Amino acid sequence: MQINGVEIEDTFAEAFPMTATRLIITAADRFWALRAAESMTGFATSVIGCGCEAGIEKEIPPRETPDNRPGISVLIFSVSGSQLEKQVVRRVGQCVLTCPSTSVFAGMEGEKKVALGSQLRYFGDGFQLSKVIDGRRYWRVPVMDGEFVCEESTARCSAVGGGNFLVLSESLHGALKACESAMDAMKQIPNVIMPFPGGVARSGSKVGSKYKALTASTNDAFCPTLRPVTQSLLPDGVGAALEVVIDGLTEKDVARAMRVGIHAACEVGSRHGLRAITGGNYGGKLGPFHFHLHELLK
Amino acid sequence: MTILRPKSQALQYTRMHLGGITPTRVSPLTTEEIALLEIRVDEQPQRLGDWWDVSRPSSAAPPADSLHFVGDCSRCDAIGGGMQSGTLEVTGSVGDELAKEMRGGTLLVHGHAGRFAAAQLIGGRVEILGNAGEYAAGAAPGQSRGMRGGLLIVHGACDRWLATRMRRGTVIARGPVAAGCAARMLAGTVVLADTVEAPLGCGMRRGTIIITSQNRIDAAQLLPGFTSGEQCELSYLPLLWNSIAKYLPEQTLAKLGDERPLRSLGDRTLQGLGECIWFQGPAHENTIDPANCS
Repeated sequence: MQINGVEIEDTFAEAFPMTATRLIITAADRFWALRAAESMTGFATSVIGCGCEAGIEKEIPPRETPDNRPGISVLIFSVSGSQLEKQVVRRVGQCVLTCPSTSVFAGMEGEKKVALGSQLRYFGDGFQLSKVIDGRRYWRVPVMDGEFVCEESTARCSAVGGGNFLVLSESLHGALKACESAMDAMKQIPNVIMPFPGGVARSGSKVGSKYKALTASTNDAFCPTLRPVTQSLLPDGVGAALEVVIDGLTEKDVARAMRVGIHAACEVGSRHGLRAITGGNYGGKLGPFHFHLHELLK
Repeated sequence: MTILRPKSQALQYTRMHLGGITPTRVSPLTTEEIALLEIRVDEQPQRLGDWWDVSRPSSAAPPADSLHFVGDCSRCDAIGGGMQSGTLEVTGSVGDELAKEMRGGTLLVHGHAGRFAAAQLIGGRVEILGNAGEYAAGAAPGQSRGMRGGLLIVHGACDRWLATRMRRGTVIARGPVAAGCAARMLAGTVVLADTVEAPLGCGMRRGTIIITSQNRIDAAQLLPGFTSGEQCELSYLPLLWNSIAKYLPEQTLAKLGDERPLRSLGDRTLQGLGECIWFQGPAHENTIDPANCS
């Protein structure tokens, strides 16, 4: 299969189950809402080292937010409910509570809950107040610019993490162009985030390592510099490979984002030396979700 | 819809207790079965059909989850008592204990309500187009707490002790409110859109009183235990307005959009953290001391 002359390899990308939540961060204006969201989703590229994967899903206009202020929707993914709660409380407490004028609301409905204001309220040192409005409890924590309003809890749901595709290009420049194009298109897709810097990882990993302490290590089969000394999976002429990683609320969301991203990458990448698109295939060891590229792009 | 009209002997009783006669209960029943339901008249068990004519507009259509009392019910207590869903409407005035332990649904009264209206409300919406008697949303004497949830809207005047010992929920008083409002209030929200008599918030522990009326607040209404009014940013107010805007007088929200809230905390004599909020035009000074208001 080819798209714009770019080879789509007949393989599948593997993804694994996660649990996720959505938060709505609002602030006095877009600038502060964005600062809080960026701060909260920082250092959240991979559960391997960060405890969660998080990113900005989209901006929300004031008319659609609970308090009619500019808002940012963020998605946070982790491996378990307890781990997710730990990360959410820590990140909201350190990055949103601290940011001027912000408030935080649940962005998801469901039976499984993740604590939010119910934990953060203790910062109020007894001066915190709660207010139940339309059956939802909000905590009002006194802070130096007024009050930090935080919903009692948010919901969480099962999700899919680690959806991916690899961009194989003649040069780093070409790979970057293809990825940038893919990211521009994928940012429009709801329910997904691309947690790595700019949505792209250059340090794609394989499962396991020669060092017992590590659960993942460099994916030597895709490292151009190791081509002579390892069983390389890079086609001839490929000088750089980059991995676009996608977390989504459902398998369908991840598949849609992959489809849109691959098409966008091929459209631009073909002019910049993009040779092929492949998937992070770990022989079924990574997870139960398999995204077959050819089926995806039919 | 099921319609109940008082029979001619309606004048021959002192008080009638209609708790448990709810839309959900009568909807699956035939008019004959409804007539056999038990009520208490002057503390004696009686059949509903002995005192009320039961009818349905169209027997062909399945009865909707709604009940309509047509006629004067001012000696009928506990109307809507135990209601969990559906719609109950009263064309006429009602007696005491309206919506006692109501948990859901909508109750609309086209008339006045007696004492203790919504005093034991747990959920749902109660709207009184006329006046409400003493202790609306409040704890009746001997009770430790008043309204526990839901929404009460009173279009007319509210008598004394509105929302006293109120525990949770929201009260919107669109008309004038008599003395003792929000006394010993525990939590919840009371929105006052017209005049209010002193004292206000006496012994208040937590909860919120919001005064949206043009005449704002009279210093004498705030007790010595309340702090001076300070301008402050209250990020939760938009959430509240979104929830209750449709029940407020039209001009109120437009006016509030241009004004800044002032907030007073109390009753500090009891270490209370209740709040009284009112609004001031942006051109005014940053803070006011209620003690200096006239």
